[in-house]
Amino acid sequence: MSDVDARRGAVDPTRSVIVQAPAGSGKTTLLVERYLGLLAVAEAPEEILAITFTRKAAAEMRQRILRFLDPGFRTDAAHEQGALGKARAVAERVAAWGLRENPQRLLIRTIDSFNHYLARTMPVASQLGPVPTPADNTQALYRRAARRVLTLADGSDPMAEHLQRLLDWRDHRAQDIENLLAALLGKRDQWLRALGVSLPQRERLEAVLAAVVDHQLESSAEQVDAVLQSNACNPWELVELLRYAARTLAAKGRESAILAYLDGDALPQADAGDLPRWRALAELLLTGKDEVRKQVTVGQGFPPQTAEKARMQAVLEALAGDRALAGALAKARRLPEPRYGDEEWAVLDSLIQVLTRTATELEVVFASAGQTDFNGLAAAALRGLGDADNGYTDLGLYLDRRIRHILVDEFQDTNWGQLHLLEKLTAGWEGEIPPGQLALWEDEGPDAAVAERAEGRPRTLFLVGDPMQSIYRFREAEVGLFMRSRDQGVGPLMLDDRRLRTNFRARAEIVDWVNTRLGPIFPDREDVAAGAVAYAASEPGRPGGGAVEVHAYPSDTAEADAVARLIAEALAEHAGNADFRAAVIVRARSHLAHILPALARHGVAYRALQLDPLASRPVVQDLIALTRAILQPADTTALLALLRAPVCGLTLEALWKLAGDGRGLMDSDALQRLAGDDGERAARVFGALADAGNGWRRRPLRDLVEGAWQRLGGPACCTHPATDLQDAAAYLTALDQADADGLLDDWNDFEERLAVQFTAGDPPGGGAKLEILTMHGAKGLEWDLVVLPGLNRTPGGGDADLLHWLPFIAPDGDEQVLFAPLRAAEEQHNPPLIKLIRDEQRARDTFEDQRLLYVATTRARERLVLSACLDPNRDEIRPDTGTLLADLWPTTGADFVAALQQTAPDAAAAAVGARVDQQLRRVAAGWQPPRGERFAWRASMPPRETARALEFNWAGAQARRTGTVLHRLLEQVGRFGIEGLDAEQQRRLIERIPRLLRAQGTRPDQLADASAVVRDAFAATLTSDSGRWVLSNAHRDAACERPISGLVDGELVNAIVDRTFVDADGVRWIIDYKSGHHAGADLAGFLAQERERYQGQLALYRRLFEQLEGGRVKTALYLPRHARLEIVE
Amino acid sequence: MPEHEPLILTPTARLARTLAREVAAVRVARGERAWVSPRILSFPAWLASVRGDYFLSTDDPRVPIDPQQALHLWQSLIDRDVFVGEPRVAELALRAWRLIHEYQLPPPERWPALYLSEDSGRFQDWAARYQTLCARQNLVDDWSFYAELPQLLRDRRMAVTGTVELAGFDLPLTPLQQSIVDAIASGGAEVRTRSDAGQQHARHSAPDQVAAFADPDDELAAAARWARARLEADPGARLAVVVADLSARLGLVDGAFRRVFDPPGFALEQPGPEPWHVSLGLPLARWPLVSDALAVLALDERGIDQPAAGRVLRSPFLSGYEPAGGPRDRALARLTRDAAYRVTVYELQRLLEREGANDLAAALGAWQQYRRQHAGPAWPSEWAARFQQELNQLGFGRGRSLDSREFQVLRRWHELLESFGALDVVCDGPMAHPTALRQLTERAGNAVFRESDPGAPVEVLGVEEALGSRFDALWITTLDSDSWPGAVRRDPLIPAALQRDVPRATSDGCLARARLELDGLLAAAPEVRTSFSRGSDEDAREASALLQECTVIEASAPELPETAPQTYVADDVQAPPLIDSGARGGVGVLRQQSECPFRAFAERRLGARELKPPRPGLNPGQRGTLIHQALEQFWTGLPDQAALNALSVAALEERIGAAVAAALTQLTERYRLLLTDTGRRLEQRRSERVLQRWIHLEQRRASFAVVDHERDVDIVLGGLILRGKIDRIDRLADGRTLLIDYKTGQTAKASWKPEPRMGDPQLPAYAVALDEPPSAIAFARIRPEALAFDGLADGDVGTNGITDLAAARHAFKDIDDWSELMTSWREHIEALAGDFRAGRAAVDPRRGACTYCHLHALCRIEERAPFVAYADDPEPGTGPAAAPEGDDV
Ligand code: SF4
Repeated sequence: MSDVDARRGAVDPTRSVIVQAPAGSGKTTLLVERYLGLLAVAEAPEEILAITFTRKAAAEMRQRILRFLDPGFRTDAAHEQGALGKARAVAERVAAWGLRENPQRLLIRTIDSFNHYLARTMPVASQLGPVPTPADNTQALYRRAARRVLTLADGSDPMAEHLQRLLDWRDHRAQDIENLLAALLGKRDQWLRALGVSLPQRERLEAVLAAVVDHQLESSAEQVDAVLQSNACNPWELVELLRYAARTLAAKGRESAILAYLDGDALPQADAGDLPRWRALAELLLTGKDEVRKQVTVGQGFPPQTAEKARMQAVLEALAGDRALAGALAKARRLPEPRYGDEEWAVLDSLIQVLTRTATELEVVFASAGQTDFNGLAAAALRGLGDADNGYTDLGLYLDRRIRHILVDEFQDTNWGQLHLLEKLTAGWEGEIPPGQLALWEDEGPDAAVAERAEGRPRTLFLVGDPMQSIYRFREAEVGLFMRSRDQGVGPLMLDDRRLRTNFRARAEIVDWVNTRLGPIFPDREDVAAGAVAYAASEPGRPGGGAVEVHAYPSDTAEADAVARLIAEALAEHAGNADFRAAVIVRARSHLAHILPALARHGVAYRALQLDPLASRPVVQDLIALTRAILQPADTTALLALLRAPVCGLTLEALWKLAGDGRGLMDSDALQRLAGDDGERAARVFGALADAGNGWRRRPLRDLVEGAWQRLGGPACCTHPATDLQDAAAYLTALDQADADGLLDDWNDFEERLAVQFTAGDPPGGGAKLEILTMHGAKGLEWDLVVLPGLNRTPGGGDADLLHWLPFIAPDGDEQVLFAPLRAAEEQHNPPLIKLIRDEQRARDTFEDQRLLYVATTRARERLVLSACLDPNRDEIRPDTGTLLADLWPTTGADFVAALQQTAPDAAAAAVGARVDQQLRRVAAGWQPPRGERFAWRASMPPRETARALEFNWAGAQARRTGTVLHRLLEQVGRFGIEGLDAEQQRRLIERIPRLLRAQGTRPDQLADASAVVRDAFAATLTSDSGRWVLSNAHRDAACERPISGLVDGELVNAIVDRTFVDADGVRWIIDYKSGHHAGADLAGFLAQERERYQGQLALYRRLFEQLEGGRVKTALYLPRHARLEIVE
Repeated sequence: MPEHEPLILTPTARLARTLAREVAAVRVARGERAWVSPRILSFPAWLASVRGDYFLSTDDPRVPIDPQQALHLWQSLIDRDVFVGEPRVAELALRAWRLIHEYQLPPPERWPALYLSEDSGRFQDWAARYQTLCARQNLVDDWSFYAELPQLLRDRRMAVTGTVELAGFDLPLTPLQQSIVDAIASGGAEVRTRSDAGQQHARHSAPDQVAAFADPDDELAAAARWARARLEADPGARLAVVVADLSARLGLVDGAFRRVFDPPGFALEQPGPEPWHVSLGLPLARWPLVSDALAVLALDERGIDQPAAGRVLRSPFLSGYEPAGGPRDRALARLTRDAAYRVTVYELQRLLEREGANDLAAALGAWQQYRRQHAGPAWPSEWAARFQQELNQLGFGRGRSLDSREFQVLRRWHELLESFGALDVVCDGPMAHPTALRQLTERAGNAVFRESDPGAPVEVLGVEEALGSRFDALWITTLDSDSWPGAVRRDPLIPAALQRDVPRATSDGCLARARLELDGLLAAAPEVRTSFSRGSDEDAREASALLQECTVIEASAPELPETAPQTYVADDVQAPPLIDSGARGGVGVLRQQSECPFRAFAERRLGARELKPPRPGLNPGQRGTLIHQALEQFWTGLPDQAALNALSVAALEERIGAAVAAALTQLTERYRLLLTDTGRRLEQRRSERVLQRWIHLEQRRASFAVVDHERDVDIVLGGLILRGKIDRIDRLADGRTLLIDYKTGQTAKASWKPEPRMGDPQLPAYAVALDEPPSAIAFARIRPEALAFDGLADGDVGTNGITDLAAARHAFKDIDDWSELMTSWREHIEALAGDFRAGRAAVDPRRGACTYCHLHALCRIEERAPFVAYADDPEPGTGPAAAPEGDDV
C-alpha cells in the first residue's frame, strides 16, 4: 500500500485505525488531519478526545488545529492540503461552536491530565474525593505512609507478623525496608495491577513461573531441534547415549546431572518438569564454560575405548563449535525450578501483604494531606470508569457529551494502565447501545438516540506511533502493546492496520544508512512478550545530498576535541544560513564531561538542554547554604559556605581565623577576629543572616532566602547570569513548594525532593545554533547536523531493587506478572529466579537500546555523525557490552575500526589535563550590592487597631455567648423601647433564649444553666430602674447598635454603639452593654475594674459623638447581670 | 437609627469595604470628622444579618447552623457511609448543596433516576439523610434558610423597608439573589441599581494591544513596576492589578510587589509600609503563627519526632525566644547531630538544659504533665479550652513581640477556636483527641485569613473581587486562552443535565461568562492594560481569543542585574599551618587528607561538620557501634581461641546473646526511643545471627590470643599526634601480632595500596606507628552477605582472607616484602600528616570522594571542575545511587 493510500485510510473518520508512523513520516499532520476530519462528523468538539504524550505536544496540537481553523490560514505544503481541506469544510460548525474563542473545548490532553479530568468529574465513583492538581513529587508522602506501616511491627495489628518476618529476612535493616516501600509506592500502579492480575496465592504465582520456564524451554527446544536437524544428528542416538552415560555413571556411583537420564526415553520437552533432563543434556554436551565439548570422558559416563564413546565423539564433532546450541542449552540449564522455597514464599507473601497495606495507608496519607499523585489519579480514573463485572460508567451522565472518538499519539509508549483506560472508554463501542443510556440522548435533541442508531454514527479509535521509537521502558512503556493492539484490537474493537514508509525529514543517504545499519540489528521477528520490535524500512522522501560519518578516537579527550572542531567547522561553513541547527546528543549527561570544555575551547556557543540536577549548580548550592543557615542558625558548614561564596569570598586563612581554628564561629566576637576588608566581607554575611533571623516566620522562607541573597549581591555575582538566575528561580520555587508541603521540617525530605529537581538548561535566545541534549530529550525533534558522540560509553547506574517482578504479555494477549522472591540479607548473590528476571530485563533493555539508536540517528536532516572512543591497544578492538556501540558493532564495527586507524595519532595529543581550578573568585573589595529605593507612602486613613488579649480564654468564650444573646435581646427591646414590651412579648423573648444560645454553640448539657443566666439578667434588667431607663423610648434620638465612623488621631474608626440616646437634659448617652458578672465580695472593686477596662473604648466613642454633633456626652457601661448602670468618666 | 439611609448591597465584602472607605474619603474631604456609618453590606453578609434577625424576632423553632457546623453534619453521615475514609467529600457535598440553592436547581429528591450517575446518586442519598438529620435535630443551615427567604418576604413574615441599592453587580444576580430582590421589591421596599455619576468614562471597547511575557513572574513584576511608576506620577491614583489565578499564586504576589516597591525591605532591611494590598488570603493554617500552634498541639507526649521538635525549638511564638544562634538553636543542632529520630520529652528537656534553654525545658515538662491529665474524650468546646491551655503551658504568643499582622492572625485563630467550640451543637457527644485535633486542623486549612486593608493605593485582585469597582487604572494579567474563558466547572454531584443554566457548567456558559467578566473589567477604569504570559516551553500559551483584534506585543526579557566587579585570588590552597601538633578528631584525619585535602582542612580546622538529621531506625553507624561493643563484650574474659573453642555450643550461644544484649542496652540507654520493643528483639536476633557466624570463622583460624580490644593509642606521624582506637590486637601462634579493624560496611584491602593518596590509611598508620609493629593487618568484615577477614600479612597467618603479601596480586604485586611495604606506607602516611599539618588544603578530591561529601557548597567543586563531583548518572527515571554502608565509629 502506498503512503498516499495509507494516509487516506488513516484519516477515514468512520474507521478505527492503528498507524505505524516511522521517524519523519509526518505523523503530527496526520493526527491533525484526522482530528479536523472528525469535527465534521461530531456533534460537538467534546465528543473527540485526543491523548498526547506530553503537555507540550498537547499544546502544539491544539495550536496547529486552531491555525488550520483560522480562515486566513494558507499553506502550500503538499502534505497539509488534506488537513486544510477538512478545516475549510467544518468552518461553519466551528463558528457555531465558538471553538476559536473557546479552545478549551478541544479535548486534547495528556494521559495524566485526562485522568485528572476524569477523577475530578467523578469524585465519588473514583473514590478519590475532591482532587487537587496532582503533585509532581509526593515522595515525602510515600515515606510517611511507609513509616506508618513500619510502626505496625510493634503491635497487635495483623501486619506485625508480616513486618517482622520481612525485617528479619532483611537483617532488620528497617531504613532499607522503608526505602523499599517508599520507592515501590511510586510504582504502585504496576504492582498493584500485577497483584490484581495474579492473585497473590502461591499456586497462581508458581503457575506463572512455570509458564515462563516452559516458554523459555520451548525456545531452547526449538533451537536444539533445529541444530540437530541441520547437523544431521539423530536425536534418538543422543537419547541412547544419554541413557548409556547415566547407567555407566550410576554403576560407578558418581554424582552427575546426567543421572537424570537413567530412565529417559526422549530428548527433554518444553516443560518445567523436564528441567533435570535439560541439565543432563547440557552437562553432556557443554563444558562448564558453556561451550560445546570437544570430548567426553569417564566423568560424563564414557569410559575410554568404548563404542559408545566413539559414537559420542562423532556426535560432538558434528556439533562442534555450534553457538546456537550452546546458547540454548546454557539458558535451559540455568532456569530455576518453577517454585518458591517455603521460606522464600513466606517472605514474599509477607512483602505482598505489607505492600498492599502500605498502598492503603498511602491513600489515607494522601487524603489527609489533600494531595495525590499521577498514579493515584490513574487508578481513580480507572475505578470511576467501572468494570465489566459491575458495568461501565456512562460518561454521558457526567459530561455534556459522550466521548465518541479517541486519538492517541505515541502509542508505542503506552503502558498497561493506559491500555485498560482505553478499553474502558471504548467499552461497548462495537456492541449494542446499552438500554439504560437510551433516554439520556433525549437531551441532545429529539430522538437523538434513535437517529444515532439509524445513522450508525461511528465511534472510532485512532492509535498512532512508531514501535521502533519506544524508549520509555523505565516508565513502564510496554511496546508489545502496540503490536498486541494492532493484531488483537483494543477491547472488542478491531483496528485497521496502516503503515507509513516515507521519511520526509532526512536525506536519502541517512535513510539508507539507517535501513542498512540499524535494520539488521533489530530482531528478525517481533516478539510481543519480550518487547522485541522488527525493523520497518523507510523510503527516502527527500533526494540525496546528505552524509553519514563514522569516527573513532583513541581517547575521550581526543574525541571531544575532534567533535568540537567538527562542529565549529560545520557552523562556520553554514554561517550564512540563519536556520542551520546542530545538536550533540548523548545518552547520559556524564558523557559530556569532556565535550563541553572542548566546545568552550573551540569557541562554540551552545545551549544545553540536558537536565542537570538542580542541586549541582553553584548558584543553587549558595542558595541551599543560605536556606540552611536560616533554618538552622547553628549550622557551621552552611555559614562557612556563604563566607566562601563569591559574594563574600574569604580566603582560607580568613576563614580559619574567623572559625578560631575550628573552635567555632558562632560566638559573639567571631567577627572581631577579622580586620579590614575581610571583616567587612564577613560582616555583610552576618548582617544579612541576622536580618533574616528577624524575618523568621514573618515572611515566607522563600522570601527570606531570596531577600538575603539580594542583600548579599548574589544575583550580581553570577558567572552566567541568564542561566544562573533561571536556576535560582527554579530553586526558590521548589523551596516554596516544599515549604508549603511541610518538607522543611525534615531536611532529609527536602533533599530528597531536591534530588529530583532538574535544571531547564540554558534559556533560549543568545543565538546559539548548537543544542546539547540527551537522546530521550531529543525525541520528536530534528536538526541539520546531529552528532552522537561517546557511543562507547556505558549508561551507568544499576538498580539495587530488592523486589523484582516482570510483567509480560502472555500469548493470549493478557498481562502476566512474574514475581521473584526477596533476597535474604545473608545471601551474597541473587537466587536463580531473580537472575532469570534480571536476564529477561536485560534482554529487553537491549531491544530498547536498539530503538534508542534509531531515535538518535533519525534526528538528522542533512548530516549524521557517529563517534566513539576505542582502545587501539587491545588485541581485538571491540566495544564493552551494554553500550550502544556494541549494538551497532555487527553492522558498523568495521567502519569504526577503520576510522580509528585513520585517526592521526597526534589527535590524541590534544588532551588537556583535568586539573581542578584552585582560584578563589569573589567580589572586589569595597563593592556594595545595589540597594534600590523604597517608594515613599503612608496610609492616609489607616484603620485603627484595637488592642487584643493575647490569650484566648474559653471561659471568656462562654461568657461571650451569653453576652451576645443578652445583647441581642436588649437590642430587640431597645428598638421599640421597654414601654412597648408587653408581657406576652416578653415571655416569647424569654422562651427564645435556649434556642438563641444553641445557635451560638452552647451544648445541650449546658443549655439550662446558660439559659438561666440570660433569663435572670434579662429579667433583672427589665425590672430594674436603671435597665428600664436605659431601654426607655422616652429619650430623644435613641438607637441600638448605632454604627458610627470618624477620624480619630488620623485613624479611621468604625464603631457600633450598643445603646445611645439624648436624655431630657440634652445629654448624649453612650452605653455599652457588658455581661460580666461578679459573684464574690468586693463588687465595688469589680465595677471599678470594669470601668477602667473599658474606659479607652468609651472615650473613643465619646470623641466620635463629640465630633459628630457636639454637645454634652456621657459614657457608661450597663451590666445587665448586675442591673447596674456604671457611669465612666 | 436613620432608616432612610439606603441599604447598599454589593456582590463582595471587599467592594462593601471599598465603598465605605470611599464614603469616608468624601466625608473627610468635606471636613467632617465623624458621621453615621453608611449601611453597606455584601449580599452574603446582609443575608446573614437577616437570618440573625429572623431567628431573634420570630418563634421559628429551628436553630440556625453555620457552614462549619453543616460541614460537620455532612461529614458525620458521609463518614458513616463506606467511602475511602475521605472526609473532604463532605466539602464537595456542602458545595453542591449551596449550588442547588443558589441556582434554584431541582432538589435532589426530585432528580429522575435516569439522570443519576454514581456520584449524583450517592449525593441524593446523602442529601436525604442530611435533611432527615437536620429535621430531627431541628437545625436549619444557611442555604436552606435563604431558599425560604423569598417566600418569607412575600408572606410578610420578614420585612425589608426603605431603599435597597444594588451596587457593583457587573455579573447577573444568581437566581436565588434575584428571587430575594424581587421579593423585597414586592414587599414594598424600593430596589434600585446604583449608577454612579462620574463613572461614565468607563469604556467597553476591547483593548488594542496585549503584552506577552515569558512567564507569570515577569508579568507580575512588570505590573508592579507599572503600578509604582504610575503612582510616582500621580500619588493619588487608585490602581488595581487583576490576576485570574490569584489564589494559586498568593504566596508570590507579596514578594513581587515588595521587590519593586520596597527593594531594601525585600533585601531584609526593616520593611516599610505596604502600598499594595492583596484581596485574597492564605488559609489560616499556613500562617506561621497558626501553623506553629497546630504543630505544638500535634506533639505527642510519649515521644517527639525530630521534625516536630525542630518546630518547637525554632518557633518564635513561644516564650523565651531569642534571635538566631541562641541556646535553642544550639540545642537544635545538637538534637540533629546526636539524637535519635524520636526522643522522649525528658531527653529533649535535658538537651535544652545543656545548652541553657531552661525555660523551654521547664515549659515542656509542664505541658507534658497537662497533656497526660487531659487526654480523654471531650466536647469540642472543652477541647478548645484544653488546646488553649496546652498552648499557654508553652508560652504561646509570648515569644517575640507580635507585629500587627501577627495580631490579626492571632485574633483569627481565637475566632477559629471559638467556632470550633460551637460544634458542640451538632456533635453527638465527646470527641477523642485525634478527632478533635484533625477537625481543628482541617478547619484551619479551610479558613482563610486576609489582612485588613490599610487603604493601599494598589490592589491585587482576583477577577470576582475586581468586578464592580472603579479605579483610575487597571492592569489585567493572565489573559491567556487557557484562563479566558476558563475551563468548564461542572458540579460532579449534580447531574450534568440539570446544570445547563449554571454559568460555569457548560462551555457556552463559560464563554458568555468570560465575556461578561472581561467587559466588566474593561469598564472598571479609564486606563486598562492587558497582558498574559507564554508559560513554560512544556505548556506554551496564547493570548485569549476573546481579545480578537488585539496586537500581541512581546515584552522584552527582564534586564539582567549588573555584574559585580570581581577579583580572583590565585591558588588559594594554603591555610595557616597547625600551631600545635595535635590534630583534632584522631586518625581519621589521614583518610580525609587523602580523600581530599580541602575536606580535611574544612572538617578538622574550620569545624565544618555535617549536620544531617537522623531517620527512624538504626543507622549504619549505630549498628557498627553495636557490633563493636558486642564483640568487645564477647571477648572480655576470653583470652584466646583455645578458650573460645572450649566453650560448649550452648555456652557460646549464651555468651553471644549476653554480649549483644549488653551492647543493646548501652545503645538504648543513650537513645531511648531508637528501638521499639520489637525492634530491639529483631536487632538482638540479627546481631546474634551474624556474630554466631562470625565466631564460627574465628574458630576456624589458626590459633591466636586476643591481646587487646578497643585500645586507645596516640601515634605520632609526620610531626602530628593522632589519637586512635584499635579495634582489636591478636597475638598469633608465632608471637607476632595482627591488627584488626571491625567493619560493617564494605572493605577492600586495595585501599591500602601504598601511594600518595591511599584509600584507607588507618590500619597502615597504626601498623607503622606502633612500637611493636604487627605482621598482619586485617579488616573483619561483619556484613551478613559477605562475612570474611580481608587482610594482608607477612607470611601465612592461617586465616582465610588474610593474604600473604608475597602471594598478593593487583595492588601489591610489585612489593617484595613486608618491611618494604611498611616503609612505603610510612612514607606516604607521613606525607599526608605533614600536608595536613602544613595547612595544605587544595580542592583535590580522589576519584569518587565527592559523592558522599557534604562540602560541595563550601569547596565549590562544581565551579572548579563540574564533572568531577558526579558519578555516571543513571538513565532517566532511576533513582540516585544508594549511599554506602556507613563506616563504623
Ligand atoms: S566535595 Fe569533593 S572536592 Fe569538595 S571537599 Fe568534598 S571531596 Fe573535596
